[in-house]
Amino acid sequence: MTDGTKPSAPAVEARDISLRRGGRTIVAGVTFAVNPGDLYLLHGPNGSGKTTLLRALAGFSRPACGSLKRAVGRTILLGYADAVKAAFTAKENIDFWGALYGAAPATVERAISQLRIFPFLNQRTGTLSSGQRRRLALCRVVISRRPIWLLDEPTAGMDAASVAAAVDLIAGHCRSGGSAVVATHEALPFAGARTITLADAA
Amino acid sequence: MAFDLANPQRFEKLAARLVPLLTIASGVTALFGLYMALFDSPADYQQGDSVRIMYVHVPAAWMALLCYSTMAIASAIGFIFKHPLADVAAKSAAPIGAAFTFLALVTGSLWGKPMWGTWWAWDARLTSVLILFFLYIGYIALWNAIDDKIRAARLAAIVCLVGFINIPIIKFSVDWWNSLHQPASVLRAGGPTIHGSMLTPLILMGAAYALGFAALLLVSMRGELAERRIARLEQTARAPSRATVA
Amino acid sequence: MLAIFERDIALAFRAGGGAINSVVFLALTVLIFALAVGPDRARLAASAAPILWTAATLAAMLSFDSIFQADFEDGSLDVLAEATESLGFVAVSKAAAHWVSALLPLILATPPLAVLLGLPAAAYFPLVISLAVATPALSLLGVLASALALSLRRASILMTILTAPLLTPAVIFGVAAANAGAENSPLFGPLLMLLAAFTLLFLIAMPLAAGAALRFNID
Repeated sequence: MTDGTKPSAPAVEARDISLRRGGRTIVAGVTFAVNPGDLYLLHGPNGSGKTTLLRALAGFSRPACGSLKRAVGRTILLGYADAVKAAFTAKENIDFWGALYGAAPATVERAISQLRIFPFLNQRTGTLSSGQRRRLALCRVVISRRPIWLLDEPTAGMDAASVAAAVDLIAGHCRSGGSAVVATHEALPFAGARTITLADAA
Repeated sequence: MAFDLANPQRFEKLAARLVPLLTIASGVTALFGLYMALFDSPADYQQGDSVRIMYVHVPAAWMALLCYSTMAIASAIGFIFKHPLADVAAKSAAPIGAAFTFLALVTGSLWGKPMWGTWWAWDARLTSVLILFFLYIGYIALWNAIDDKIRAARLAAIVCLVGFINIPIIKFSVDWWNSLHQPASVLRAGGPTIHGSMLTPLILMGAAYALGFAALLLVSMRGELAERRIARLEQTARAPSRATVA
Repeated sequence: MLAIFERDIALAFRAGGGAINSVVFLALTVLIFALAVGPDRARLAASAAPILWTAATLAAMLSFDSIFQADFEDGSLDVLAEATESLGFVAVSKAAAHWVSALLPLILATPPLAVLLGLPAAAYFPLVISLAVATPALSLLGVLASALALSLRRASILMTILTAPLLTPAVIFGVAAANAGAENSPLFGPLLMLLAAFTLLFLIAMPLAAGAALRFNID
């Protein structure tokens, strides 16, 4: 999934970055690197800056201090919101994402089967449960074929079976050379994952 | 974040020294200018003494454009270099510029009645100056509507810069279109066509207005900085989160 | 990007309401103007082009602040920004979709309403042409207004009001062109070209400005 870069160069590298939100510095002194195959779990209480950090990694904002090197166009963010159009069916949302990211039909098919979208494929997403919508939102991440996944509470609202499927999906992605940073409140059973914990300086 | 607005000491010291100087200079120039305007300069052979309103109207119009240009430059500097004083300058210049524009419109109207026989005309220059006034009002409203100061500065900068196209339109409108308003007689290629005895008080009044604008701008900026300092003190300070990577 | 354009058109038709609301507003505005001008047929016919232009502009302005609102609220705007890496292109796609779904219906509704105002026959074509050339500029301005409005939780109509002064050249030249065409004046061509130049200027400036505004509002 990586191409052209030296195998040792991390895809995303943060050095002592500080992030501001709403006029105050919300996170400071964060240093880590995301290499192919890395899986990070991002923990922290509400308001500690998990979402802000993910969005900075995704390129939505620049750090106030420090250096953040990121490979442009190689990250994909699954935010808190599903970014799913209620008036469309699941299939229509998926088709749009396929066109948006220029994905081959095979990729789209694979995403649909990996996330078991088929049961509600032609249903209007306005009528889906929150867990089903979250699975659909994860579909977009797979369709984009981008190597670095930045996921903000990817399993919100999902039942146990869906959570297990999501965990398998993310773990499999990292095993085949991709990487992921997953912000979550839940105890997700990822083997060998590293953790980033955001906490108030005592 | 190299610049810290919480402690703009250099600016404060500079402002403290400049404001009295500028105010006095403005007042003195205005005195000379007004004396010449009201007593020393000739009355117009057609308009009589009502031409003297020109000495209030024309510099006000100049200032309306100058203030907007100042806002635009400050906005651009704030946008590109992120210097917070530039944002403060742009914000502070707006109400002053709006006041000058209003003054220009009203004095122009008062002058227009005896000169053209009408309080208002929808010709190119008057219309575009009215639009300038609306742009000022909109700019001020935008600053007041957004809570996050930095975001307000950036969005207001965009509005200000997009509206800048109006400035050359105002300046050249009297040349491009047949207009009720008289064509340029001071700032034009080939030099001023106005007589020295009228030009001098005009320049003096213009200088007085400009010095006054500078003084008012600095005072207004100090006020804005003080407000921000108060707001920051009122905010409960919370230390940023730190990350532990395992 | 074509994908964004097609999606927006599909959404506009799915949601239905928008275009119909605009056309109804147009008709009501024309009605109110007509009642205000009074039954004098000559006066009404002379005012027809300005009334229709004004009503179309007002109806267009009402549709502005929803351009980015829905995408912003459900997170789609983040997706678009991240996927295309160029918010300027997003802005252009949005403007094109807005013109087709919101302003084109207005242009098509204008001739029937012009009949109600007694617009002389020679004036129809110039009126529609002037609207067709100028309304893309309105869509482009609407994109900027909507992008700026994302910062305002309430009173997002404020952005439309603030940017309205930038519309004035389109209105001035648009009505002038419509009238010139009706009278077969030689100014018709040049005025249309001036309108086209204005629209082109907006095509260059507005996506840049809107892209910058979006970047700051997505943050």
